[in-house]
Amino acid sequence: MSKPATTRKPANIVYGLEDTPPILVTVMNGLQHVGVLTINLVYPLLVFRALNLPIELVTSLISAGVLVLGLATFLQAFRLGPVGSGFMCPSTFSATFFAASLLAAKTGGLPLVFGMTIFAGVLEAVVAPFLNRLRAIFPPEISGLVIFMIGLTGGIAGLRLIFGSGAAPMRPEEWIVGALTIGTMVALNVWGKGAASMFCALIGLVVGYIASGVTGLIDSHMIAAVAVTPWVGMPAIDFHRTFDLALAAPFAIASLATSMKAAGTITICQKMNDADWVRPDMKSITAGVLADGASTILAGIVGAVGTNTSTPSVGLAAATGVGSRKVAFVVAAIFILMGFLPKLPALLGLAPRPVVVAALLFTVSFIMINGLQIMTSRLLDARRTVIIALSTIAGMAVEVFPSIAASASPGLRPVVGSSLVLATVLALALNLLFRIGIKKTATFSIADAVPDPDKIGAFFQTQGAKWGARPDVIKRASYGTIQLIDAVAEGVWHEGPIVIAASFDEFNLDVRVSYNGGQLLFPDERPSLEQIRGSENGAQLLAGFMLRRNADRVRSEGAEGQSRVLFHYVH
Amino acid sequence: MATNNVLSIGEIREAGVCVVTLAGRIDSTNANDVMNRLKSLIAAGEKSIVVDLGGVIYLTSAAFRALLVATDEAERTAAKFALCGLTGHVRELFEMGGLLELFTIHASRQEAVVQGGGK
Repeated sequence: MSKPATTRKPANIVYGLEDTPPILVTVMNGLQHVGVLTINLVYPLLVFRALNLPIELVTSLISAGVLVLGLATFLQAFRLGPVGSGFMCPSTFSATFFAASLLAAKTGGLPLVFGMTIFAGVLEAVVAPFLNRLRAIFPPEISGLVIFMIGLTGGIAGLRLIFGSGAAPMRPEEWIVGALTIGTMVALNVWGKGAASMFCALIGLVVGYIASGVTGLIDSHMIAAVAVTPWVGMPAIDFHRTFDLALAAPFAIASLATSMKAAGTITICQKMNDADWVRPDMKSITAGVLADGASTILAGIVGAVGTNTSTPSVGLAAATGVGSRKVAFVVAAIFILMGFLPKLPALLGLAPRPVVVAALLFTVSFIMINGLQIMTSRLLDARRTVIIALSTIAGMAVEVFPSIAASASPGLRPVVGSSLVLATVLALALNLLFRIGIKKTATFSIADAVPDPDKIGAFFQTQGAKWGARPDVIKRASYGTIQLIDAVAEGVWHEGPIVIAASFDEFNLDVRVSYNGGQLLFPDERPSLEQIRGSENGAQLLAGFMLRRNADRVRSEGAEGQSRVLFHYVH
Repeated sequence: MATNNVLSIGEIREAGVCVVTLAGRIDSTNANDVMNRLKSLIAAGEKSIVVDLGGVIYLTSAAFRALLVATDEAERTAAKFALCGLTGHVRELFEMGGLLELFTIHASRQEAVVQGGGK
């Protein structure tokens, strides 16, 4: 059935995608997102620090990166031809590219980091148009699992800064600052009302900075370092780019993971903006993933690590109920401006460990729950249960037992060295394996001269329940079959039994109706009022037109008095 | 289940408006019953008719034709003719057929009666 032109806003969304919030709300939300997104600056920062680059160059590179985030956020929201989903779905640097980028930095320095980043972006853009055809390989439970794992591993990565080997023990003032930061965010989110709830993350960050100043975590020495940074400057983008085939695998996997994460994030945006959301709209997902790939290409060109749509940011929009596209434009404008104001990235770089970790833990909570929701958006049968459970356990094993990665052969290390990549690859492999024997068929024959629609309805309901098919799709198939038989019975010559064969394979529901008799027409245009009223033939034409719109695809075949109508429904 | 789906046609008068309530499924086997009932009301001189589809499970094209023929009859005799109670699946079917704009449709029976079956 055709999608309604306008979508119904869910009750928890105060300002939807097309809404224009008051200017203060828009700007404050934009700042809040910038506050959340800049946390991920830690990834390029850690890659650049690994190369022991001079601090001025690092600040300049971060400025370039910030500029990329602004352009990427704008591209995603603005929609340039087929590129961009149109959603308020800001970009940020991704944890997914972190390990691969660090490896490239150690192997071939900045030129290799940027060269491989372009490669990953191109790959993502190439994969994007085929996502629709790859639905069977990337079902919601896998994209949900990826999002869940990103949330979980993000939280663990944050805690590693506190408890990991090599991490300095937390001082009492750090615990206090961390507790104050996350406590403020959580308290305002849970018990706060209006603006306090809406700006919980930003207020929490400000509280964290103030507490850091009071406790001495940010001292005058650090502030002086920011003071000497110039107010205005051009980002450094003058580097060579190189490519190394040996690094193609980890970057390809990272690219695959980011395209899936982008698809998942766009799915959250769709869901967040549509109270009647039923299934992912692949058109906007493809456009969103294309924009995500283009942004990573841009990152490689300008001189940054790979970007990805920010699930915490979308999670924040869901938490605050502000999903307006105008906020994305404000976020883009702030980032672009920040790209030319090096003092601001330098100031943001001051964020002490407990503030960064607290903000990370707060935002990943929303990612994990969104992942869970997507995973469980379909009935969890035995196949999906095993895929989700085993992949999660495998991913967690990598985090708990570092020996798995350490003892793996160099060829396997890109896969088993990352909990996210291993969980994803295992889920994809299990899903492909479980496709075997998934298609189920049932037939139903009507011998009566006058077909009983209740029996047809009961046939579809019984089979739908048995197959775990979505009720809305079963309803469409049931109605389509009843309408077809009704039209044939009334106005088309026929004799003998009518046979209904329905086959279901989780992503497709195909219904074939066969009978001895004449063919029904399926016009693309609705018959005119005069045609419908003029004769019973008008009702047949209207039936054909409605059936064409009811199914995702209709095919009519006829030979030697035998007619067959095939309805295809995307599940 | 079968008995619940059988078409029932009711008729009540509210504030001078003849409200025809339809319930169950309407298809080629009973669409003529609906059409004939509506035609006979119009022929009897009824000037304000509201058809309440609130209890309808689904309609096939034969039912839509019946309603369109009745609309035409009403226009000829300058009678007001409107529909109400289009919710859920039934409304989707009207959308699927691109038929919403061919009828006068009210959000509720109360509103339809206040308008006397007109716009």
